[in-house]
Parts: sequence; structure tokens; C-alpha cells
Amino acid sequence: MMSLLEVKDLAKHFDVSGGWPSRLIVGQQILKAVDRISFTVPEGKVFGLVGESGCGKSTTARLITRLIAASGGEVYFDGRDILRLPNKAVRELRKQIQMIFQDPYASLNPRMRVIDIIGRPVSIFAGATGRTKVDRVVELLELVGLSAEHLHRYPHEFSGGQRQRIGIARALAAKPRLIIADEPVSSLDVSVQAQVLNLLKRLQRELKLSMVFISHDLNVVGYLADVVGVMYAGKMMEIAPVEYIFKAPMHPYTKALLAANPTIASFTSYLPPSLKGEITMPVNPPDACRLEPRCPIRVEKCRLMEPLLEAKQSGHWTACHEVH
Amino acid sequence: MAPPLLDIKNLSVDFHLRRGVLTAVRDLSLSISEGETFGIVGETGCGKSVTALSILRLVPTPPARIAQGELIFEGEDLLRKTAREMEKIRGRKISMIFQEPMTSLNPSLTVGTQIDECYQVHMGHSKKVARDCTENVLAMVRLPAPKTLADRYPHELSGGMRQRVMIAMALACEPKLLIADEPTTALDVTIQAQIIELLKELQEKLKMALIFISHNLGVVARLCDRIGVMYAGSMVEQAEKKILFTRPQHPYTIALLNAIPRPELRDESLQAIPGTVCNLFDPPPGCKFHPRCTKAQEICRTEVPQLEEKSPDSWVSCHFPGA
Repeated sequence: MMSLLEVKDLAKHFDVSGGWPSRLIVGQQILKAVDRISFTVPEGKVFGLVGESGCGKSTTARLITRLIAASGGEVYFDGRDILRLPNKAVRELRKQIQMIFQDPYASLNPRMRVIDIIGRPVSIFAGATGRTKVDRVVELLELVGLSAEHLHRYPHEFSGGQRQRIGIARALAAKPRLIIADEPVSSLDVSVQAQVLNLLKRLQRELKLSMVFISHDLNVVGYLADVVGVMYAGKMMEIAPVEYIFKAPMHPYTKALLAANPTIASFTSYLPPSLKGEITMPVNPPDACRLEPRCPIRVEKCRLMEPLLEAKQSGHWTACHEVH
Repeated sequence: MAPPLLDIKNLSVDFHLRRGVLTAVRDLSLSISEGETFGIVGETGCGKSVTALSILRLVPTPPARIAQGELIFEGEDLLRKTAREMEKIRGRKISMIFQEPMTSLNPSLTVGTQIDECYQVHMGHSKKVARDCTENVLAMVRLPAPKTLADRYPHELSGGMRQRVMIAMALACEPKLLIADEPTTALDVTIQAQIIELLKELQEKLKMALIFISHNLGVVARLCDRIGVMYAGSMVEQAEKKILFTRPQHPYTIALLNAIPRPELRDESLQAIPGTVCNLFDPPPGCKFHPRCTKAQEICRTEVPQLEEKSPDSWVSCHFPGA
């Protein structure tokens, strides 16, 4: 299977030392927000990225779209390393990689009408003007379940779900090959969330889109993704086809996430034991497993050596010393 | 049977705004016995938070006005209490935990000072005794090193720890009833699981009643005995947990349960509820859900259904309940 996107040892480090006094006293402090992660997105498939806040999933999205510069690693899109593309070529890249954002209120310009919001990428990327542009915008609106009557309205006239549809139409305007969706349904109520999820699923199948779908919600990722990557504190902990993640998770963190995942099947009064403690930000992290302080199955080795992401079974990758 | 601890009868709350009158809560009744856990679920704007705030008479008045109803707590109507009397009840007999712990804690006071206050005000303890109690209650919510923690400021704590501080403060005076309004929504799942576990444990230990408000059915499922589902200001269904999840009666509850994505449903499309929540300024006549309901008939457009006990332990307000 051809992979459209291949991420290799991608890293993003932030210097969080602060001003010179603390730099002198504490020394340099590097937050390894994304620390050498690798994964591939096959053509026409959805790669789901799950993890809790601060795990680096949104940073990953920004790195792939080159909204921020990477500290290291390679990202191959269609065979080309996009991290080393000159800025001029990035513009061409944006036509092929588009993003859908979390907050449908913040990601649409309140002073622009729908025709302009969706029309701008249409004219920039397809060079369409006048009648052709309007026709294309209407076509996109219809694709996401809106209609021509919405053309001249402003974002504030729409509900959250409708705004997210506009955001999706805008992303599709460039006819991208890869969509990066960063928590696209997190701010929506369940009933509306289901509408948008159905739409994303339908579009993905009809247009054979490849997608990196980021969410903190395992249920949502489980519904939409083909392959799932689980991140924790900047590290990729497990990558596996979606059914393995849910039916046969290997990594203790994935297991803990699943146990903590509130589902309606959990109405029995049994509470699975939760992961103790809290996530520690990977500032100057030692050469150890990031989960070690909270891990229920940790051993001495976990504190001394960082586990590598290895294929424990065909297609099922885990970074844990205690999983064989 | 002992009288319920809290009995809400036909509560309606209106908001008088420039655009008109908005009824946020409409004719809502529910009762909670001592030591019981009750969950209120519903989507944004369904009136669940306003209900919670009304119990403590914390809805901003004006613009809000409690238009009708009774709030019988331990045999007395809270709506007839004076502001002074309410102050003695808040935090002492009924406590509340809010969604965003950072905005509910005072950023300029240490955690300890804020909890001490509960003991000084409600129990009349001296500063020293209050601090001892504070350390105990911080230990009870499983915060490490309560002595040093009491001297820290809210910004020095993580979200999960702040929420534990909020719980400690709410439980300081061992209230009879705790109202938790989306206390875990801002937290990560593993931290959320810890907080739920803690609340469940403390609720059983202190034998207090709990009203837990959430938009997440899964979270409520883990914690509550009985669950009420709200839509557009009204209680549409109220049932024992197991009954609600296995045999939901109201079309909205059924639709809500079917709208939750699950990996098993990958190959199907989710049953989304068509349309959006009605405009509360101008709600449709009859059943508020009828414009989005697949089973709506003529009667649904004209007559408001009442919440009635259709089967034991299951109350539904629908003209055509059942699957």
C-alpha cells in the first residue's frame, strides 16, 4: 500500500527556560513537545491520533502543515520531504494539505460572508472567478449539507455544527489530498457531533480522502479512524489498526485510556482502577519511559532506558519494555 | 418512606432579556432522597446549569426570575428563605462544585485560606482549628502533603488538583447535598476517572446526596443511581440508570444514545438528530422536541406532554413513548 504521508522521527522542542535569571539558576529547559515520532498515513485512509492535553497531538498537526518549524525529523508527502521545501513551495503544498480546526467560532473570520470564506481558497487555488467561483462555492456548500441560500450570510448567523460544515467546505475547496482535522467535533454537542461525524465519514469515503484525525475522545477516533496512534507526553506509545486498539490494546497507557473512557456500557457500578498521578510535561526528560511514574506495570528498566516503538505483531507497534 | 431530602416542584425560571423572555427551565420536578446520586444530562442550553444554580438561589436576578415552583429542602421551601438564611445553607448544607476550577477559586488567596473560611464562617472555628480541619479535608480528597499544599496558590496546581481543592472546599462542612456542575468536563479522561472515583468514594463515605450534571452520558452512567434527561428546559425522561440505558422511552433519549460514536458502529452512519435545538425565545407549541422527532403526530404539535410514570421507576414526558 502506498503511503501518502510518512512521518519519520519528527520532533519539536520548545525552549521554556524563561529569562536570563532563571536560565542562569535552573539552566536551559527544553520542552520536548513532540519527541521523535514516526507514523504513516496510507492513501485514502484515516489515521487517528489520540492522547490527552499536552501530549503533542496538535503540535504534530502544525508541524505537518508547516505552520511551525520542526526541530528535527522528516515528513514525506507523496515522496517529497516537505520540511525541507523552500517557503515558496509551501504554498503549493497548502493546496494539497488542508486543515479543519477545533473551534468553529474562532476559525471563521466574523467579517467575511460564506461566499468569501469558501470563495477565497477557490480563487487562490483553482483560479476561479465570477460565475464559476460562485458555482463552485455552491457545489461545496451542497457537499457539506448547506445550500445556496447560505451564500451571503455571516458566521454569527450559523450554529456551531453549521459553522463546522463551513470549515469543512473551506478545507475541501482546494481539492486537497490530505486533510488534517484537529479536534473537529470536540466543541459540539452529541447530537450535532453525530451529524458532523457522518458528514466527515461520507466525504472521506466518497472523495477517498486521506486524513489525520486528531481527538482526545477515543469513541470518536474509534468511529472514524482506520489506524490509531496513541500519544503520551510527546511520544508515540502505540500504533495499531483500530480494532486492535479497542480489542487487544498492548500498551498500559492505551489500556488505562480505554478503562477511563466513559461509555454508556459503563453503567454497571464497577469502576476500573484509574491511572494514578498526572501527566508530567516532558521538560528535559530523562532517558526513561514517559509513563513510568504512573505506570501500573513498571519495572526497573523503565526508569533507565526509554522503550522504542517496535512492531510486536504485524502492524501493531508498541513502545513498552513489558510488552512482548 | 422518608420524605425526600430535596423536592423540586414545578420549577420555572425565566430570563428577562432585551430580546424577550426566555424560559430556561420549565415546570421541572424532581426529588432526591438522602444519600442518593442523581444525574442530570442534556446538551448545551437545556437548562441543567440553571436548575442547579436555582437550587442554591444563585441565578443572577435580574435578569433571571424564578417564576414558579417550590424547592423543598428538609421540609422547608428554599424560595421563601431570606438572603441571610440562604447564606447559612450554602456551603453548610448544600454545596456546589463548578466546571472550571480556576475561575471558581480566588487566585490571590492560598488554597488553605479559602478552605479555612468555610470552617470559620459556618462552624465558628478559630483560625488554628480551622487550619487543622483544612488539612484533614485536603488529605481526604487525596492531595499529597496537605500541610504544604494549603500554603500554595491555585495557579501553582494542575487542573486535577484544583478540582480536588474545590471538592475539599465543598465537602468541608459535610453538606447533606452536593451539586456538581460538569466538574470533570475540563479535565483529561484519566484525571476525570480519578475525580469520578473520588466523588463516588466520598459520597458513599459521607452518605451525602449528589446531583451530578453533565453533557456526557457515559460519565453520569458511572456515578449515578437515577438519571434525568433534559431538553430545552424540560425534563423529558427520568429513570433508574439501568432502565434508562437498556429501555429508554423518550425519542430524545433514544436518539441521544444512538448518536454516541462507538468503534462497533464504524460501518454504519450514526443516527444524528436532525435540525438544532429550538429557539428558546420562541419555542414551538406542544412538545419542544416535536420538530426534530421522528414519531411526531398532530397531538405533539398542540399539547405539551406531562412527565408521567409509564412503568415502575421510569418517568417519561412523551405522547408516544417507547422504542
